[in-house]
Amino acid sequence: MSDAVLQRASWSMIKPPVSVQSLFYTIVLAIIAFLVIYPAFMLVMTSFQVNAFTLNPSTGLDNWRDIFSRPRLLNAIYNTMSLAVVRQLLSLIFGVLLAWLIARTNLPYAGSLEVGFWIALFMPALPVTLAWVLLADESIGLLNVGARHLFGIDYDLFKIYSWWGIIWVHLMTSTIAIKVFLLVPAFRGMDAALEEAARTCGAPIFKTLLHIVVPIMAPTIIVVIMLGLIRSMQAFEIELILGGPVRIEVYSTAIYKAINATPPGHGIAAALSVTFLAVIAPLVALQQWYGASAHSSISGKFSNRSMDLGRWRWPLFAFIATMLFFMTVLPFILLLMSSFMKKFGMFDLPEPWTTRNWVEAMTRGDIPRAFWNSMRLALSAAIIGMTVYSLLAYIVVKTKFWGRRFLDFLTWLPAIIPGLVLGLGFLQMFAGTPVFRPIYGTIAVLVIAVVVGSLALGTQIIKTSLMRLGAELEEASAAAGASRLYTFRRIVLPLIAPSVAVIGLEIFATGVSVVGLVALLGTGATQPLSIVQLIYLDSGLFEPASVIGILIMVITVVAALLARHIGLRAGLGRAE
Amino acid sequence: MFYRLLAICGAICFATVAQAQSWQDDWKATLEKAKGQTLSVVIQPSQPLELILEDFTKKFGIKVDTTVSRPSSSLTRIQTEQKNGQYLWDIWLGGTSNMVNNAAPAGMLEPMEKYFILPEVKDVANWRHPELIWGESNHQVFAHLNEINYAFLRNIKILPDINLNTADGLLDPRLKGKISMRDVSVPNFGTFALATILHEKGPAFLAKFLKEQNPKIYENPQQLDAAITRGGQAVAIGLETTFWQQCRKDGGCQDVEQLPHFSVAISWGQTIPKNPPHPEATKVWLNWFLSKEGQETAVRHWAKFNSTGAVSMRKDVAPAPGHEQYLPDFTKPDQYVFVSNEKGSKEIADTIKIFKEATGQ
Repeated sequence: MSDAVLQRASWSMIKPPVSVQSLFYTIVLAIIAFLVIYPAFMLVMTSFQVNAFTLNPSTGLDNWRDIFSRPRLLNAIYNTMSLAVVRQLLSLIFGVLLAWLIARTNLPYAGSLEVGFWIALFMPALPVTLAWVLLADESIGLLNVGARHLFGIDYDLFKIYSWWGIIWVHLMTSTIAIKVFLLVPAFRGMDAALEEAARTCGAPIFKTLLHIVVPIMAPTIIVVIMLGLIRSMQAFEIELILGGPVRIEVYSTAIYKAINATPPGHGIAAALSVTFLAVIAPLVALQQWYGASAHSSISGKFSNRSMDLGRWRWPLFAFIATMLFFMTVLPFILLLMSSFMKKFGMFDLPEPWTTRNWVEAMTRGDIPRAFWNSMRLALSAAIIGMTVYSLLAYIVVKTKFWGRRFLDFLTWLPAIIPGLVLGLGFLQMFAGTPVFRPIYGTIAVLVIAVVVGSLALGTQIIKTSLMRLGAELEEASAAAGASRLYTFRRIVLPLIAPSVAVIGLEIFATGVSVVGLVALLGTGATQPLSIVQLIYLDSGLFEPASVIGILIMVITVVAALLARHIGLRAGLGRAE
Repeated sequence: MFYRLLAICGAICFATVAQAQSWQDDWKATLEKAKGQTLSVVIQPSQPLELILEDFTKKFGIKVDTTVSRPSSSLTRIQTEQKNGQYLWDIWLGGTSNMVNNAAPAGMLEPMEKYFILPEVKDVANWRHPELIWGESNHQVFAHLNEINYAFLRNIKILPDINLNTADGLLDPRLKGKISMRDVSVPNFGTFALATILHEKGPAFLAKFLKEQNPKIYENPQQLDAAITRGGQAVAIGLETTFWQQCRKDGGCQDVEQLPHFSVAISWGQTIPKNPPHPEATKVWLNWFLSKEGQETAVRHWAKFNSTGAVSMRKDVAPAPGHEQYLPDFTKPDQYVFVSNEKGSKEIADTIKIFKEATGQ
């Protein structure tokens, strides 16, 4: 054997200590770690800052002492927990049932009903909440007034300013809708073989749902519950509006009030947020531990045949359609009405209707630029988000990378930090890091912030989709000589595409409606439509603000329908 | 003697001419340097402010990069940037509360007088009150607009016999459960309104009012609006005059009246964050905006969108028609709580403290 051949052989036997793939994954981990740990670290540091708005700021434990000496903190924690748990419980029951009905059965007009839930999710929260106030306010709510006049009822049927009022408005706005939105693609990807077996053995439909479908889908459902629970515990807008008059305070309203105090209590808000983070982090670890034991359900023998609902088909359709009426049609009518009213809810004016709000909003000189900025921000965030989340989910689920567990945990971090203070963390990161200075103030910063802000939602949902894919599909592809990238593109991606698509839509919707981050990170040239809405709201002009709210919603819904249409034409919706 | 007098007169004339020459040269040079600059402005969400800035660009050809942001967000952002050595803003325009109470004490602002060039701006005789044009003692916040607003509304159909022309009427036991107000634990118009009670009657009275009358607290002005117009509430505290006036203009709110006894003085103004990146453009803006022409432009645009407050602190700029009543009486400024300046800020802080104690927040 010649020396050259021996040398080649010895080279081929020596494996490099770090593979290119491993190096790439490590770089990805480092970038993600920086993007999520930096704001979290700054948050911890901020919690020790005292007298920040003086010439002599210092560090100390004052903020921590302050939060733990608050007389109503325990009460706020109790309200937060009770509202979040009840909301999640109810929305889980409805969400799982609705997603299963839409995805796995022969429910009439299932596709249209699914779009209905998308619309419910994209409705602007503040105007819709005020629309519910108009409907169900104690003495003057239209429903109560109607009940008094029509049925002679001498008491208030509905009390929107109450604990149950908060639950109701949350359920009717996004809490149920987001579960349906996220679960439907996952349910579509479930192998029907087990359902069919259960049915063959004579199990009734709902018993099959409870004992077969739910356990199979448990990893996805648990992720959705976790995300829902965190969102519920961070929600504050509806709680502020409906809880204020009846003195219901929650944890997040305390954060909101600290930030908006004078001087701003960023330290107190940070201390409250770090406490929240410490409470939620173990739950994330628990979810990770459970998620690791999940097993695949999509194999080469995949079947997605629909179940026959029999005589329940139309009654269930009627039930869901009624639900959607309350979640979309009714608030949208009120929203539309408010945009054409001189004064929202005042029907007794001599001439209550006007087009001036539309004329005022649509003739603004900055509308075209704001629209363009919204589209740039939302589209870029959606495309980059889908790519990044898919990559991260793939690394976590499909590789043996040493840092995959840590990477998985990191993706949860931006979700655990309350949104109200996450913006502050991003601001400190972008303003304080030299590498970001060249892009500070540009739309790129906003895109990064939106993408990182939705890291948990995007990665975890795509991750659960990947977890359901059996290894045999990829093994078959590899055996046929396909590269890892080719297998991902031709086998994995089409199978997880529906989940990736809904995540893209959610990020798009966030990009179009985001306000807090834009106020802290955007500049004039990059400010989107949501800032125009803010201008009206802060000027006390609720009615033109409704016009912009409708516009934002229409953009999102059109984008959603377009994406759905393209997806269906490409066969993605049926790919599984 | 004659020659001495002649010499003095000559010196005075020379000094005057030289001074005139000096500011004109300075203005000309500033205009020249400012031409290539882009004024970087952060404003509170407000349509008139946007239009005024557009007019500025039209007049001087100086581009303006306007960022719209709530004052609390602007404050946080500017402070964080400055801590990291970034000085990106030339002008911050809007309500002066955050500038005065938070930005100035944190050392985030520039003294403004060194940016004044035009004699008509520098001359304090041109302003309605030489002290009240400044939000705070270091002259870092200029309040070009001080207006009177009425934040108390009553529904005359409900408990009409109660005298609410004085603060004492608010303690009438029949009003218990019939009063609604904004959540004043964070500064807003409700806070300003309660500060007027504190100003007039003292802390014990305010605490008693909050504890005994147990007002219903709303976060959103729309809710408060509905409570007083249709919700069976007798008094609403914390709704700006604009709400009420627009409603009246549209033919509604006939049963709702303002209580003129409780008036607050609010200020809009501007400040220069430390080390502005475009000092010449900043000077041009500041001097034009505070000139007669600039203030007339401001009043004109303000009146297009607001039914109150189209007034200027300049003596030679008349309020917009119908807005005269919103000009404070500067001969007796102590009758008001100037909620957005240094003096009023203590009363605002005390009001929030009393509210939190009384409501257990």
